Amino acid sequence: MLFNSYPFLCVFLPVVLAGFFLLARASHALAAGWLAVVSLVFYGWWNPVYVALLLGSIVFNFQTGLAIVRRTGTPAGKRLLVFGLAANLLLLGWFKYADFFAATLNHAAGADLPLLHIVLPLGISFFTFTQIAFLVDAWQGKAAEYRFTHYCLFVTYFPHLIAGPILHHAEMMPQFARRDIYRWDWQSVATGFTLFFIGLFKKTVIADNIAIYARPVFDTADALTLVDAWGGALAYTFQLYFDFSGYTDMALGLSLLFGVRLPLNFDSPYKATSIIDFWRRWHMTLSRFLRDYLYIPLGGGRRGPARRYVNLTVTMLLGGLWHGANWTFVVWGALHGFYLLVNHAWRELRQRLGWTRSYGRPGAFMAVLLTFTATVVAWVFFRAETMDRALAILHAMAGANGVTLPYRWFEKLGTLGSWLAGQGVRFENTATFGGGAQLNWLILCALIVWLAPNSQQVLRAFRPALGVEPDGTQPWWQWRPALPWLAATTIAAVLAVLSLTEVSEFIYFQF
Amino acid sequence: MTPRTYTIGLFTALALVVGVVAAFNRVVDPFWYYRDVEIAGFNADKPRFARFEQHVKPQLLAREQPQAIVLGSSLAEIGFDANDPSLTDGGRLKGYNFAFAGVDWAETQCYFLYALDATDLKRAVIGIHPGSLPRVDCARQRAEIADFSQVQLLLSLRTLQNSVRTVLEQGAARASHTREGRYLYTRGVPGTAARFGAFFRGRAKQGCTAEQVPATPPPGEGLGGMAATVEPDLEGLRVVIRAAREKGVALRLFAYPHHALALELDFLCGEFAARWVALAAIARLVEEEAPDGSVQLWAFYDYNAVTGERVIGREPLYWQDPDHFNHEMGALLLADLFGTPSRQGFGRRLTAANLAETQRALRASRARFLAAQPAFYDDLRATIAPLR
Repeated sequence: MLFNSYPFLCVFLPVVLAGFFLLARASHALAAGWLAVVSLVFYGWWNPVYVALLLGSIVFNFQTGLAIVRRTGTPAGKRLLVFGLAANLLLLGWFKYADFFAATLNHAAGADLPLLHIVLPLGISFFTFTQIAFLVDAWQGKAAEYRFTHYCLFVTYFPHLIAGPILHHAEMMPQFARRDIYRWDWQSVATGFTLFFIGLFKKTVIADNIAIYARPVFDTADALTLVDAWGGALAYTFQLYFDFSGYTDMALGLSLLFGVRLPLNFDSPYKATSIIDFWRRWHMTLSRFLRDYLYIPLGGGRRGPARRYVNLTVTMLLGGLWHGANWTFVVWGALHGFYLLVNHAWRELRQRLGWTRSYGRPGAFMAVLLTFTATVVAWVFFRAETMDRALAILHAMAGANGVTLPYRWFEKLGTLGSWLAGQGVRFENTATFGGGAQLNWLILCALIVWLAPNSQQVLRAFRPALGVEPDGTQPWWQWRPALPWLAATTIAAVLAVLSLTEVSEFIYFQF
Repeated sequence: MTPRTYTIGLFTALALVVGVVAAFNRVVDPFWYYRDVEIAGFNADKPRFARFEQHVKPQLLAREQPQAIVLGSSLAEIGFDANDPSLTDGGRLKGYNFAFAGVDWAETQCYFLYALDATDLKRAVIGIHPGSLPRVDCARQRAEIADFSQVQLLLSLRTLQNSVRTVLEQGAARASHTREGRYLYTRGVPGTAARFGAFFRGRAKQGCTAEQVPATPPPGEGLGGMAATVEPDLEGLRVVIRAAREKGVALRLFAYPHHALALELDFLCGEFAARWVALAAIARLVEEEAPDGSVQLWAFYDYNAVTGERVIGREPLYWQDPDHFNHEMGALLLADLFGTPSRQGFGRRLTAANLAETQRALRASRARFLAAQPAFYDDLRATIAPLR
């Protein structure tokens, strides 16, 4: 079931809310159980068969976690941990990577392995990673509570089940145990719905509209020129951000309705002034997972710069592969690994040379621009179906195929148009560039991304997410239950709801 | 304001605005689905129907239950009046133009099979481009049709935009379609000669350029004969014919006619031979699958006063451009297709046996026409002139 669908908004959510708070009057355990069961219904709406897979995974990991805890610090416990991790990775590998490895072997070694064409269970990457983290936490003694209902809810909790955020056992279980979440709280409800509608607006009004300009560039085999290619790459860059951060806002908002706070997942990533900064702002719970459960166990930066670079590269390569079974994702991860190496090396060089001078706003502007451009280039690999297509788009972005502008711009540009034509710019309409409308959307997205506060900043005074605390100030643009915000939220909600009819799946559902 | 007041206010306002939008869309009915409130000057003209026809027409077909339909691309959608007495058997059958702008054979095939399932059809006319007519999987299109919901029509920003424009454009813009589904396209819009030129410019991209137009008309042998091309794949047509026979539908297939200027350009660019090969194969298939004549193949390639209607210096009655003909010409086609006695003789029913004779007749008609119309080649050069 999609958050951006009428069945979810008009039936599922009201029924779940009513059931939860009514049952909570009788028993908190019953209410938590209800939430876990309806989360399975939410999951099964897509494919009921895979509910059994999800349940099997939950039972297995819960029992393994319990067994590990009973043997903490012993070799038997460590063996159980390794077994549990291997089982989870095998499950993920089978459903997500079996065909990828078979196809790669067939291609590279001339093997003839049959492709299985397995349908990828929704959210498998997310619920597998969540439970891997649980097993490691159990081994490290960080997982304190072991009530099955709460564990089941921790994994299946519908706001995060399909596309994250990736949760830590330690940050969720105490919340499920709190008594106050079982009482209807108007403040949480008001904040939650506001955040939900902001997310829905980002998804259905912005992401879905800008997507129509990205699709032709990535899905066609047509030759592109500079403007088409940059137009498509930028459109996808904004689409992905508004789509995924919109989804996350909805997830956080929905969770707030139940008084439960999820961890922050986005913090204006395109405002990052370096790639290191970018990864602290983009898909933060994945970054946290990769850092805590991959980079640090590999040794992190503790064994010198060379080993740190190797660890970073391995982490980013696997992070890339986590997103999808395709070499384009591996290259995307490798590229970000390379960016991080360069970024770290540059920092170290500056430190050694004693370059501590700050270049103020112009310097920050250039840093944001450089980081953003590097990110856009990397997204081309992330979105393209094949390496060939990605390289063709980058080729065009480098200007190798010349420049083509819409035909009607020739007259609009007047003398400049004639001059451009004289410089070799072609004026003809293409199916891969949307002209002025596309430009308007890109400018709008850029303004929101760079000049507007993000949704967490807007709602900061009401603690919309874990780790987001009021800072004592409340500027005029910060949300509060007041008439102007009621009007603004209503407009966003109306536009978002009226844009639901073309139901489209979230991009991250495929990962 | 308390959080409670805020939340209640939010949902009240949301429900209210969404409700008003739904009511407005329902009353304006920009895509002509409900068809119950039509107020002159407010919403009677439906200029935005064309944007949603692929969603609405299948639903209207199922609801209105026509017994005689026309299928095909924009050529059929523009060219046939579904109330034409030849199609409706003098008004005894209910007609509907179930053609769609921009569709190809694959979609036409699926729409026909859908129409057979959704209605109690008696007659159908399908326009084709002679060539391969392969079998396709209609699952995707079926799913799209089944996916239609009135929620889409009522609770949609796009519908709201179109509702507002429908109201604002009353009087300024005309309806895109007739009630029975005929597309008006550029009907009544001046500039037909320019549209001929634009079409011929499109042909130039396929290698058929002004250079192929000689100073004087060449002999017409090239209009006959068949090129040694691969036999077309007609398995999709076979499915269509069998389905029609199974349901007892009188099916008329026809090759889309072209204006004589376009025919001549086809001839000069050597495109006729492959067309005859396809028509011969289709004729054989039709006779094989429907020997009783319930399914017929027709062609309207001819040089005459209608197909050769002058477009330079005047706005023609029968044509909007070299391919899109008006319903006045469609009436002549329908008269032949369904044997209206007083008006027959415009085209020719094709069989494997009469193909050679048809080719001869076409050559003869061309020769007669060119002799009687000495300015024809001047017109051809004039319309193609922007190419130079």
